[in-house]
Amino acid sequence: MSRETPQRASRSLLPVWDRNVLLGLVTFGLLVFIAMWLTSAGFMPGARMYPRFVAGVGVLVAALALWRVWTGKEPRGGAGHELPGRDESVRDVYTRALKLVASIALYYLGILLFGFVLATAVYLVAFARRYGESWLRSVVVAAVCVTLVYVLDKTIDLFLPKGLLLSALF
Amino acid sequence: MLDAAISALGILLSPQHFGYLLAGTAVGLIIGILPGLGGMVGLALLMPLTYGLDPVSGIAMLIGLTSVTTVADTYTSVLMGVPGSAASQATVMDGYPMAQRGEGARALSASFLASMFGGLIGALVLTVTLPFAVPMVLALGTPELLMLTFLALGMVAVLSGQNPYLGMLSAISGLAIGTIGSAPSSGTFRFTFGTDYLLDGVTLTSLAMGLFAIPEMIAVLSRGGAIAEERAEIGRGWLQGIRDVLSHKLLVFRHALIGALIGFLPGLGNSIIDWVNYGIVVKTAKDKSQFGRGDIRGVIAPESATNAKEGGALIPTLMFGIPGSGSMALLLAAMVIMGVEPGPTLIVSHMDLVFVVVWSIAIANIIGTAVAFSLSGPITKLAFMPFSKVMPILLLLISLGSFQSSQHMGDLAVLLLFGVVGWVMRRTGIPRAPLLIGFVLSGLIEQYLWQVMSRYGFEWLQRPGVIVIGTLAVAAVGLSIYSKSRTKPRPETGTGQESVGGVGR
Repeated sequence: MSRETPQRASRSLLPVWDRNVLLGLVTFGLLVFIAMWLTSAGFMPGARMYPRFVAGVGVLVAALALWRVWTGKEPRGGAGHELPGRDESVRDVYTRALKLVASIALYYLGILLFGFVLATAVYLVAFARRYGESWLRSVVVAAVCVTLVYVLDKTIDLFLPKGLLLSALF
Repeated sequence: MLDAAISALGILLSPQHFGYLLAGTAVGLIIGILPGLGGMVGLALLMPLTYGLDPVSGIAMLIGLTSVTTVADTYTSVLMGVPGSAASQATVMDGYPMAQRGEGARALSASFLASMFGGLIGALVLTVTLPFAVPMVLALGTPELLMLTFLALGMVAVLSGQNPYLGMLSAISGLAIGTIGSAPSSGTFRFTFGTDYLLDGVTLTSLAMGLFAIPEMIAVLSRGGAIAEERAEIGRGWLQGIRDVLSHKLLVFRHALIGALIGFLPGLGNSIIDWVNYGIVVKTAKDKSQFGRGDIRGVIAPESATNAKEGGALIPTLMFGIPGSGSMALLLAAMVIMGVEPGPTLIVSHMDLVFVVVWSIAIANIIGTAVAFSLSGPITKLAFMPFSKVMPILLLLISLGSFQSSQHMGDLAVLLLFGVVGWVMRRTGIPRAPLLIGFVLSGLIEQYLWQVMSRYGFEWLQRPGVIVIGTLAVAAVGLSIYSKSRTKPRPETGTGQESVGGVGR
């Protein structure tokens, strides 16, 4: 594969951060398809054919896509695509996105440990406070939402996770 | 066929089924109005609720939802200049300038009415196609169906985004994710990494909501949570908008037909339908001077086409069991879960269910338009609601819905994982719809492939039907790649702004 040059990087319409992430993602995809090809060799004949077919095509397509991204030929612009606005600070966008993902991950960890109702109540209050709502409004919104979920749970038999810690305690 | 149509209408109008249709329509309107969301998110949210329903109720609810999201997404396009979904980008071009000069109501009413007529014409196109469907689907054997599936998936992959190679990679990734779990032919467990959760494979609801709902939340909030800095007032002209549509009847009819045709072709749909129709109306108009400055024809043409596409998109979904868009893939999967198998069996043996779909589109469009007209005041307030207030409640609903799929914490892990993957795909221009369609079709392709290889070996590739469809597939994919490689890159989207509800692409 040819070496990366500033001309190639600038030919791409993506900001550098996004382009690097895209390169990483496509490379990861290529490695996954190679691993899939190798792993599926150990399956029984009936179970092997389809994953090998998918992995074989996947390796070819991923290699082609990697070459296109590396040489700056992909992605191309045009109406209706999903390229980001150019005026935004890409680093800030990634940082904010990472924080949001981390907060959702914490929420799910809370569900695992303390159950859906408690974790949801805490998350709703914390989120509303983060975006400038008053304590009173945050608590009221959280209480209303949690009550609605509880009513749904009782009326249409939703299954709500109880939480490992709470289940152990009670 | 007439008997089936009448029988389906009777079934649909029973209080229970009609109630579900109304519920789906109401959710569709709310989802369409809320900036940043679209029909895909709505479908993914409602899917867990359909698990215990009878097919008519479930189908009515889901079709009711998909039929009206494109009616309601016009609010943000016209009043804020920000496309409410991918399919309403072109409406901004003339709708927003009209709102800025005080004619927001005129643009909205023309858009609602054009959408309604578009939806009805789309349903009519679906109905007219049905008599030809039965002999056509009966003529196809498993090898031809397999090749047709490859053709559809290939077209979706290369046409969904601006990047055919990344689109293909997305589709193949969907197929690969579909191999996780037990192999249908032998029961062998594949790629489960020793976990119990993956024995049944990745759940569709978690994957779909992860790919389409979470990324929209991250995208809007990572930009600070603001949808738009300015907004126009609703203004005047409700009756004038209705008169505009009635005086442009042929325009509505022409663009609805074009919309249904585009919907029928796999992979096109949301991403281009509004721009194609906007381009056509500008090219064929005698007086082009007002386009881009608030010409009502620039609102009517894309809106009638966008809503007609659902009828067209349902043709391959119902006839062959091959979805041409992300929302059709979800609908197909939901139907399978409810015990209805779209494809030849449905067309031949359950025509009444097909007509339930047709009537649901028609009734939902009429109800949706009536609600959009009559409740425009409160609905506008909902459209202007900051996303930071909507997001936590939406996350709650998504998490709750996702968890119901297999009632395992793995559902939430999958939801978050694909949420991050979907957001990265959204930012870097990798289309997400091919991944979802690949995932939904994976089981079907494996089943077809196993059958044809067991029965014919590689000789299935020599069947005349397979050769014709295969040649079409190679030509369609090759031509798309060639034409896209010759398109000059443009750094900005058509509106100059990113669609907040960039779903379904």
